Amino acid sequence: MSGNRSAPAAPTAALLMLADGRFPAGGHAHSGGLEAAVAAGRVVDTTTLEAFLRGRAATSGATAAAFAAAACTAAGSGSAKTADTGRTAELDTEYEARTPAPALRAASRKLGRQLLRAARTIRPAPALDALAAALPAGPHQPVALGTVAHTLGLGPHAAAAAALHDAVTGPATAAVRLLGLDPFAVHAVLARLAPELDRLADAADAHAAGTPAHALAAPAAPLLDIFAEHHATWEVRLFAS
Amino acid sequence: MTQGSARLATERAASGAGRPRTRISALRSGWPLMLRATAALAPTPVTVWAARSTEAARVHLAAGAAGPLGGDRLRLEVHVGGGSALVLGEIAPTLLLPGPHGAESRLDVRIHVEPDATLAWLPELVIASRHCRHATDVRVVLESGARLLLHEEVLFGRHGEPSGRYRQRIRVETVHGPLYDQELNAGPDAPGWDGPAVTAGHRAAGTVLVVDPLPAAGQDPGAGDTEGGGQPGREPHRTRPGHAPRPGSRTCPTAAREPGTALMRLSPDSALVSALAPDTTTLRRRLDRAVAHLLRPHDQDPAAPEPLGV
Repeated sequence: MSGNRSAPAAPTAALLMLADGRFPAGGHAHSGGLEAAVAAGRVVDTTTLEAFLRGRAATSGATAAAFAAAACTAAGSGSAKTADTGRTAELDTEYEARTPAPALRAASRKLGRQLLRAARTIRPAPALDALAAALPAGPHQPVALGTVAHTLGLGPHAAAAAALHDAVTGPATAAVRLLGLDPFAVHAVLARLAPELDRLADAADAHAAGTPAHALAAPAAPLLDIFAEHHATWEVRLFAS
Repeated sequence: MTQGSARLATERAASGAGRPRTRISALRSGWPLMLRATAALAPTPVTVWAARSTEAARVHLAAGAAGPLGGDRLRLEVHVGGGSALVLGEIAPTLLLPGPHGAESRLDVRIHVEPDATLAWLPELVIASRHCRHATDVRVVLESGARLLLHEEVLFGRHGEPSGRYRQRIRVETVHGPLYDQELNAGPDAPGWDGPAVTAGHRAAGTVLVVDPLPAAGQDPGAGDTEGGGQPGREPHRTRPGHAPRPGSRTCPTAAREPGTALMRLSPDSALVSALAPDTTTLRRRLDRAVAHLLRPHDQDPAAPEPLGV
């Protein structure tokens, strides 16, 4: 069946490229708190990994999705050439207030800078220049992700989906390396999480446009914060966070 | 279903000579939120900190009824007038209980701290009993030079029972914008909440947030301070959101070594202690130890490796 070819499909190839772990933005160096969770004996197998990923998706994943979606929308508003950098800077400030752990703030800004740098080379766009100018110390990763998604022709739902994909695949890949888990079993976990990730992306998308930045989601993950701070003091570690 | 609204306000009393004092200018209970002005008890690090420049007023909140129960709508407004100081405590722990119709209970807390005023808010433990459905929403606005110590503890279910549905959002804004905004979600509606990313099955969680734009009395700002080293005359909120954090302003190694606890600097003049524990006694000990570290006067412990100046 040929389907209805006149209806424009949501861009897929650009989303797959952006969400791909091989996209050269440095995400592979981060375990999303999993390395510390493994060291603490809290994640030991696929069952505990699934519980970790479920909690991470619902907390830091949901926050990242909300801000990526909102940043994507903000990048598409304003004049034709320039993004609404006032709203984008406000989102960055609000995301910082939702990221109390200094180690996670630093990791997020580093990843945001790397993503922005990669995107400006891969697909230069005025919105990316505006973002770099508005946040000279580098945007937080979800703010960068949302803006980059917009410049790739993606919408807020895709930006949120990419953020959630990143929130679980990073730690899942790290689990294979750190615990020697069966990659098939780990991907079975990811497949089971898929409906929840879609639900969270829908929720982020629903608040991308009309919701004031201060009212966006702020779910906390105390243990991820504590893990991150402890992890930052280690002398030897495999992952940057 | 109960609707109660209580209001508390303080102001700096006109004083001739001697230390300035705090006067309670409004104390309006709204059943079941009962407010009582109380006498000062034995000093603690927190009360000493709160009364640093002005004698602090002491008020306790007492529950006039069980709960909150599902369906209750409670509101507490606290206004700390310019230059005054308030220590607001609570008489007893709060046991969140389900209501007859499964409705959510709510507690909205609105706090405004005027310039150079101080609030220490020390509510007792909140216990999310089985089948409860509750949301607490705390909004704090701090004006220029305002100081804050905000303590909260929650126990996920009574002994041997699973936690009910519990949401607690705390948002603090300063003159520089949002400082802290977090919502803790626990119970059957919160995916993964007791898993190894959020609480890892710990039964008790708590935080203490401290905002203190003034260096402690007698403290030499930056001296021996790895966090603020080389930056004399520090300004409040030097690290503004959106700008790179200063090198070294990352962790407090002392607290970082404590299991289940992290001490996180949010800005040059504010810090958050976050702790998880298997029980409330351990939780309180972890929080108190980190807070004592944060609040200790610099000159009492000159050999300490990481004075924080908060």
